[in-house]
Formats: sequence, structure tokens, C-alpha cells
Amino acid sequence: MSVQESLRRGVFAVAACDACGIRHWPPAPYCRSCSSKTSTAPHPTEGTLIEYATRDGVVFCVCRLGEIRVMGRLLRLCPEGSAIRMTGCGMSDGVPFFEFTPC
Amino acid sequence: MSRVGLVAAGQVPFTMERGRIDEMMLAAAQTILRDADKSCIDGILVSTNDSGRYLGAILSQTCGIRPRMAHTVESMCSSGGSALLAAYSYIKSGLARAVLVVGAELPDSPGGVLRWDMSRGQFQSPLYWGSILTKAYKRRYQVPAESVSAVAAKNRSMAASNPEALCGRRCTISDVMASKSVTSELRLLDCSRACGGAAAILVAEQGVCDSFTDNPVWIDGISQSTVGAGFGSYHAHHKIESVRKAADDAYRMAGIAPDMVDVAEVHDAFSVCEIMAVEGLGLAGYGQGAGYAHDLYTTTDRRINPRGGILGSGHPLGATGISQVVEVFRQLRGEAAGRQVGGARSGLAQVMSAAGTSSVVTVMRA
Repeated sequence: MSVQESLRRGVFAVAACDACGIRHWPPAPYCRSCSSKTSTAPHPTEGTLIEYATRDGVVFCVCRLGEIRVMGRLLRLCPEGSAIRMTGCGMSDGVPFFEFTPC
Repeated sequence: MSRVGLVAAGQVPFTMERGRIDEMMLAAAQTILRDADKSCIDGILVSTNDSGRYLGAILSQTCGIRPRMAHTVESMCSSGGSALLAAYSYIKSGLARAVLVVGAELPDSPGGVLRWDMSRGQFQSPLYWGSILTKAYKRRYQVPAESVSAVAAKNRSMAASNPEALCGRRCTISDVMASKSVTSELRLLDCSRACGGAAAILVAEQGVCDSFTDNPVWIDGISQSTVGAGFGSYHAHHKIESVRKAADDAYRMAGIAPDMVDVAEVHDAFSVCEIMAVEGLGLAGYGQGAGYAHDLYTTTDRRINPRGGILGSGHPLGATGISQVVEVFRQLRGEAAGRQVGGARSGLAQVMSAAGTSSVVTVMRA
């Protein structure tokens, strides 16, 4: 299953190296470190809010989830540095979307 | 080792009209080919994000040149810098003696958004990363929005004396602050506008510079740094890492220090980008870029972005990096008319792409 298909099912996933386990985001079919193939792997959804801003009442943000960073919609305001959880993800018209909520 | 020089430069006015890319790049090329010995030109590079095909070869035919190499260079907003780097390399390696580099873009170019970058989620427009960088900078250094917006007021005002700019008019910080809020961090006038336009430069090996001019501008340092492609590559959002890396290399190559730079064109796609660029270039300390811009604004000092930068001139993506070099060329030859920076002998151009994940810095001397 591709990362996009996983997102379509509401499961956040990235590409992980079959040999060394390094995570690739955005996904890539081969590992940047050891050149082995990668596979789609679920990724932790809890992390930290790094920065946010707003547009027309929508709060958008950058969050750190383990070693990767993701932009998405913040459903409830909280200060930078707060613990957050990805509570929604998917694909819409070929574009991924992500939603975060403070823990 | 032989130096590489800029021997001619020109551009057409930037516009929102949608014409033909082949005609636009030819118009820019003709601004410098009328008086040039075309028999020496053995390379043609087109810098663009346009989806047109075979534009390098098309330009070679329409210009009446049969070069060795003719191709397109695409690197989003920094395409122009990358094309100049390629031209420099062709000449240094001996593959070419003189290379015509033309940057061209139409207003509806697809180059503004990087669809590959899934890390941006549903927030694909540059407005979103521009807002995150602005907020991060303001928060890190406790800088008010007015200080950041001094960049827009300065550059838009300077563009008033640039007849090739898209939208130059006098502008104050109050005007910027009173313009429409695009996001919580960006006013409308803090944002550059994609447009059409074309610019051209002729780059030559030292031994043939005399064939074109007795007053070349030398490219003494040039470097590109790429830290990734996705916005998720950022480790910190209050600075642009690629600028510092490219600048360090370009300064070392040119044998100069930042305080020797008399005039600079830097990538101000959003107001905060100029602030981060001058800090990355070492022209201001980290956290001091906003104050530096404010001082330039209040003293009408033109040393940074004298043509009005991207905010004032418009942003025809593939043409932007070339237009910056055109301006520095004119400044270092004392040909910048009403926007001349007095006594400018050393200059640089810095252009970047995809939220600053890649930057090109070029150091030039009269």
C-alpha cells in the first residue's frame, strides 16, 4: 500500500527503509542512507507544535512528529511547544491534508 | 586562472499580460544582441518554470545562433541563479567561451507550488511557509510587524525609480500595515506578485570579453547550497540555512568579506525573506536584519535591492535571478541612473527557491 493510499484510509504513514529503518518524508521508494527499498509504515501521531499562524479563521501549523515535520490544520489553539496529536489525515483531490489537536 | 565576466545585460519591463514565452525571451535577448558579435556565443541557457518545450534550441534559432549547447534550466524561483552557475561552469571548464542566459516566465507559470512536497499538507501556497517564517522570526527576536514591513515599504518605494518594475510606487510602513491582511502574519504588500517578464545576460571567458565590451563585470564567486526540497527539511524557521552556506562559499571564492559588498539584490519574495537573506549573507547579524532594513528605509539607502527587489519589481520566477544580475551589472558599471548606489564596486545577487531550501549567491566586481 502506498503512503497516499494509507492516508486515504485515515492512517498517517511515511516510507521506512526495509534495511535500516530510516524514515522518509515526503516518501521515497529508496533509502537516502543505504539505497535499500522502502515500504509504507505507520508513523507516530503524537508530537510537538513548532509554529502556527492563521488565515481567514483557519489555523495552520508546523508540527514535529518524531524525526519528521508536517504542516496541517490546528483545530484548537495552543502555545508553541505544546504537545499535539494528529487527529485526522486524508487525501482530497490528490492533495494530502492533516489535522492536529492539542493533547 | 582566467576570469569569467558579464559583458552585456538587459531586460524587458515586467508585466501581467500573458504573451508568448518564446517572444518574451527573444525580446530580452535582443536588448543585448544588437551590438554583440554573435559568432563568439557557443552556449544558450533559458531559465524558466514554463512547461514549454525545447526553449533553448528555439531561442538559438530565433536569435540566429548555432551554439554547442542550448537547454533549459529549472530550479523553481532560483532558476536564474542556477542557469548562471551552469553558464559559469561551462566557461570555466572550456566547453564554452560565451553563453547567453535568458530568464523568462509568463504570469501563470506553474512554478510557484511544489506539489511533490507532501509535508506541506493542504497548505501548498507559498503564503503559508511565508507566514510561518515571519511568525517564527518575530517570535524568536521579539520583532514587531512594523519592523518586518519596513522591507516592503523600502523596496516598493525604490521600484518607483525602476521603469522596468511591475508596480513601483512610493509606499510607507503605514501603507503596508494598512493593506489587506492575507494571513495573521502577512499584509498584502508584504507579498510579492507573480508576473511575466524576461531578462538576459551575456557571460564570457576573460579572453573574449574584449570582443563585447571594454567594461566587463567580473563574476568572482558563485555557489549554490541545497538543504533539501520539502518545507519539512527546515530545522529552524527563523533563518534560512541555505543562504549562509552558499554565501560562505561565494565569499571565499571571491576573496572578499561581507562588509566589502557595496550593493546587493536579495530574494524578498516576502518581507521577512530579505531580513533572513541579509542575515544569512552576513550583511547584518542574526536578529538584526529587521533593524537594518528599517535603517535603510528611513535613510533611503539603496544598497539592498535598489531596483525594488521582488516586492517592487514583480516575480517572474525564471527571470528573477537574471534580473537581479542585470541590476548589479548596471550598478557596478554606474549605469543605474536614478537608482545608482554611489561608488559601488562590489555587488552580489542572492536568489532562492521552495521556501529557501536552495539558494544561489553570486559575487561580482567591477
